[in-house]
Amino acid sequence: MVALARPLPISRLWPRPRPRTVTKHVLLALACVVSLAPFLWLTSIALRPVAETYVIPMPILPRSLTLDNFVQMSARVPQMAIYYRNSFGITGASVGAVVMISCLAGYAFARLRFPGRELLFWLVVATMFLPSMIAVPALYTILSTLDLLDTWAGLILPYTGWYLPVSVFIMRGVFTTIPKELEDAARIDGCSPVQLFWRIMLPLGISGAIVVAIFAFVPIWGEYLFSFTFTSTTNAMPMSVGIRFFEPTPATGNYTFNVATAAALIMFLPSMLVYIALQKWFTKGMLEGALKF
Amino acid sequence: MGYLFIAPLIGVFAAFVLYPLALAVQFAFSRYQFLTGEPPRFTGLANFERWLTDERMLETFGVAVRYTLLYVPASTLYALIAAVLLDRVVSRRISTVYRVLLYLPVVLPASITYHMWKWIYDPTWGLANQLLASAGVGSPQRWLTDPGLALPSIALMEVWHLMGVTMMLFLVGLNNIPRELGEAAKVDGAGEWAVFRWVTLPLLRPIFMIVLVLRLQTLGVVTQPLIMTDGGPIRATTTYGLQAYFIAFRDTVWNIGYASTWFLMLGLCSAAIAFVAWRAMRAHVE
Repeated sequence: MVALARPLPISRLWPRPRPRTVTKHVLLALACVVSLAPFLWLTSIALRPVAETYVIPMPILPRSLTLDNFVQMSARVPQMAIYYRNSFGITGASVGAVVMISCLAGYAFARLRFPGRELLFWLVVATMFLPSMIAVPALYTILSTLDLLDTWAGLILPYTGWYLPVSVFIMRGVFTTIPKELEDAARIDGCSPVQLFWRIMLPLGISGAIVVAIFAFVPIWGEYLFSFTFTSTTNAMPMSVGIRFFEPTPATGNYTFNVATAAALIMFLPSMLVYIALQKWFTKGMLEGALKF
Repeated sequence: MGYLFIAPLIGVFAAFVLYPLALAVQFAFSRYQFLTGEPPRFTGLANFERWLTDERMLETFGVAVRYTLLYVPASTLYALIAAVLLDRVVSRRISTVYRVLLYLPVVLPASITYHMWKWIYDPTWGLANQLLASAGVGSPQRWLTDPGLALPSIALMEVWHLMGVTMMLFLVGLNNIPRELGEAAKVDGAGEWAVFRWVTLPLLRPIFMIVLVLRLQTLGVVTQPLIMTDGGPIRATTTYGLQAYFIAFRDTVWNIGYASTWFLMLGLCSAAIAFVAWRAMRAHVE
């Protein structure tokens, strides 16, 4: 999609005055600093001792570094480890389910013929534009009837359902672009449809599956409204809601910015690691997903 | 065979997306107060009549519109400037570094980001006032507790959080514009600004449409004020969606029936916007 053979930028043909280039880089660097500043501030507080936080004016850089705040977390909020476990479990299961189900369905919508195919596809995709919050009260009553409130399944199932439409849309696009000849060749060689999907199509669609996984992981990992409404105890409450219990209240001295920022930092890290590691896929997904409408 | 492949999709989708939506429509026409334990009772258009005359409706819708107006133009302009500058960076490696950093906030988990900004806006210890003080401009602000400032503060955070998405869309758009067009205009004597105004901007129109569709969903904003201000101070950040949420889960009897009416109208509004924009985009592309 991105122009592969991009012609030389104009700037190469007409050398521009230097000040312009300098301004450009200064502005961009400034924007990068703005993007990073909140995160750097958070990190600097998470890594400094409490004594260096509550000083007016608070120094921008810590004079000494400590990991004590991370140790303090479990002392202040003993349930912390459970919140993280819930976050990992619920997000992992939801993303896994979204990827598997959308690969299967994307393939069927792209390649298999059956009555009602287009209708079903558009029915699923049409809900992409509906804000999920409008279903929250109804979902609450359903989960309450099924006795799934405050359980892992009570979050995994709604997450999976609401992130499927986008994912199915992406996966159908991915499978549509795979050449039909490959499939025909395999079929002539005696591949069954299941083998065909498993051995040929899935490996070819793996890049799409990674994009789907990332695009489900980011919002589910930080999701608040569903988890805030449908969970109430350590049974299923993920850290995106549990972070509330770390709210700094300097008045009592019970919770400090240092501990709160340390807890937040641990939640930020998985997102950032995934992003840095799979940076190329992010760009690819952004470009392909958003522009195929 | 096809049905076998889509069976899991249809199962989960029907049970946790379609059925709740259908149920929400039913509730919207019913009297249903969850905590009283009574089952939903059909009341026709009663909820809608009440919705029309509910003074909270226009008030909170106004808050949502104001939020959108604060957020969308600022975010779009910032993203457009960043994309145009980034598009002119010649070195591929340097432009990748910029792009990765500028997009980074987008991938941060929403809930934790909102909490972080709540701390940044802390009047005594937050980064925001610290920066004001060290720059020597203005007095410390009560970012989230001053009724006039709370909504813009949340909008500012949102600009920071999601600018990268819009920027990427613009980058794609810029990339798809043939360079020859700009060159030709330049040969004809057009200045840099004229090329941008009369060649680049018109060709970016489809991207503006996509951005608009994505961003108008902001009308339903709930989570940001729920986390950062709880709708306060003095209802200054009680958006339409948040009010609906409060009617469902804060009301003494959990008025899920009436709240569903609020949400249904919001859903219709979103769907209408998306549909109109989709049609416009299709028409434009063809």
